[in-house]
Amino acid sequence: MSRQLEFRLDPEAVRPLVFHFRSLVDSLKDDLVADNEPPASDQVMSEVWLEDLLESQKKDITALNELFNNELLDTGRATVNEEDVDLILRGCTALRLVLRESTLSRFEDEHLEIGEVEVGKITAEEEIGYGVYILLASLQELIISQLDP
Amino acid sequence: MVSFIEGGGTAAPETVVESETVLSGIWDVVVLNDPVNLMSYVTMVFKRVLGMEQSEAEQHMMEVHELGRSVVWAGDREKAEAYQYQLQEWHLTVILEKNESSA
Repeated sequence: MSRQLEFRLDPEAVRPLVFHFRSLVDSLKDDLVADNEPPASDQVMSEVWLEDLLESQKKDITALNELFNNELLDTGRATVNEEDVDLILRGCTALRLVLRESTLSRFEDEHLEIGEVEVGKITAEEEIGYGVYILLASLQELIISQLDP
Repeated sequence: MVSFIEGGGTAAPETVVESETVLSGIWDVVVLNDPVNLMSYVTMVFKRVLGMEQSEAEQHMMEVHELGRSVVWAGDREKAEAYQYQLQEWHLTVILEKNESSA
């Protein structure tokens, strides 16, 4: 029987972010989020490479999306099967990358990195995007700390 | 996962020789810095994908963070491509470079 990781988030903090989260998920169906190139040795292999990466990314996003189910939104409690942990971790990164390139594109890297975004000086959309960005980082930290205490 | 078949089909012998020459030798798997990934995440990925110990993984992670890049593995082209793919699956930015000092 596989191990399950369990963690809790504040549902009051998560609920307002879910709409933005879901719209990001929908935007990630056709494009890779990371700025990556396949090895340039062969065109056919390069196409297969990119298709496989996109399929892998879709699995990541799907697993993460399923995590934000009614139980998490109602109680803040979420469980992750050990075999899905990699997908969830990668899904968080994929969404953070797309947020960085879209909603949060006008901010400096170092400000985002150390959390120095002044909430009072940003738009409502940026505030929600930043909330999702931080939420996904917290989720990654929680999971990694349980995997490798 | 993709499979790596070089010179597939019935290529002319000269093409095979040229391809082998271009792709032979030692290749570096280079991870580039990005503004998003957490230090703990990058360290964990190095351990999981490349089998590094914690201290080695942290050292490479800090290289990426401070110098913008780190050579995380070096060896033959086929295995370098396999590592590149796996690291890209984790959404790290990864390139291959021919290790000129090995030529």
